[in-house]
Amino acid sequence: MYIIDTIKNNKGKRRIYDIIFFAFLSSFIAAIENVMPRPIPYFRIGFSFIIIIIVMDSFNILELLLMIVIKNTAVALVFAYIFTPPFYLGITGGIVSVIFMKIFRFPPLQKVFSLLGVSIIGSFVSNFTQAYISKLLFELPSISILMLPLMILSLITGSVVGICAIFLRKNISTSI
Amino acid sequence: MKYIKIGDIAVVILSIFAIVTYIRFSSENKTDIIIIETPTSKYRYLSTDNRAVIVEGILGEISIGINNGSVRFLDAPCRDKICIKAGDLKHTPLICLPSGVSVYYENLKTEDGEDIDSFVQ
Repeated sequence: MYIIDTIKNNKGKRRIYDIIFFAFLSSFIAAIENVMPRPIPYFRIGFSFIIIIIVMDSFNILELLLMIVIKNTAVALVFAYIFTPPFYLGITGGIVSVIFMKIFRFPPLQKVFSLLGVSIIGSFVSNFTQAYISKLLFELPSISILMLPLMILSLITGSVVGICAIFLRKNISTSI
Repeated sequence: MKYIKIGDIAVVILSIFAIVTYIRFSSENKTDIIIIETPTSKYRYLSTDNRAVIVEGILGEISIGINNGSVRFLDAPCRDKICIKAGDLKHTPLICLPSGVSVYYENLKTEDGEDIDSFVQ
C-alpha cells in the first residue's frame, strides 16, 4: 500500500502528526533552499512545495492551509524574518496557491490535470499574488513591468516542481 | 507520458501563449521617454538627456543616471543593491522593490495616440 493512501485513512492524533511531519519536512527543504546561493536574487525554485503537492490528495484544504502556515512560520522564525514583508508575501502566496491547486485536484479535474499542471497553476497564482501584495505593501505605482519575468519564472519553476513531484510520488512505495 | 494529462499540456500552451502575447504587445519601440516613478511622484525625462537624477523612495534618496538612452541606478539605500548591480539598462524596465521606485520607457504620444515629433521641457 502506498504511503499516500495510508495517510488518507489516518484519523485523530495520527492525522495531526502527519500534518506536522509533512509541514516540517517542507520547512526543512525551504530552509535548505534559503541558505543555498542564488544566482538570481530572490529567485527560488520552491522545492518545498514538492511535499505539499505530493500529499495534496491525502489532506483536505484546511489541513493543507495549516501545513502552509506551519511551514512559512517555522522558516520565518528560523531565519528571523517573521512578520516582515517577505513573510507576508510567502504566506499569502502559499495560501492562495494551495487553494487553487486543491481546486484543480478535485476528483472531476484529477482526470484532466496531473501534478505537473497543478504545480504550474500554483506557481503562477503564488507569484502573481506575491506581486500584488508587494504592490500593496511597498506602495508600488505599477507592477506591470514584473509581469513578463513572473510569467516566465512561474512556468519554469512550476514545471520543475511538478516533474519532481510526479517522479517522487511514483517512487514512494512502502508499506507501514 | 502517462503521467502528463491533457490539462497539463493546455496549461503549458496557455502559459507560452500568454508570454508570447505579452511580449508582442509590449515590444513597441518605447524609447522616447524615461519614466521614473516613486510612491509619491512621477518624473519624465527624454532618453537623449545626460543627467543624474535624485528621487525620494520609501527608504530614502535614490540616485539614477541617464546617459544616451540608458539608465543606471547610481546609489540606493536598499540592503542588497540589486538595482545598482543591474548596471546600465537600455529599453529595459527596472524596479527597486524596497524603495518603491520603478524606471521604464514610454513613447511620446498625443492624446489621439499619434507620435509627437519633439518634446520641449
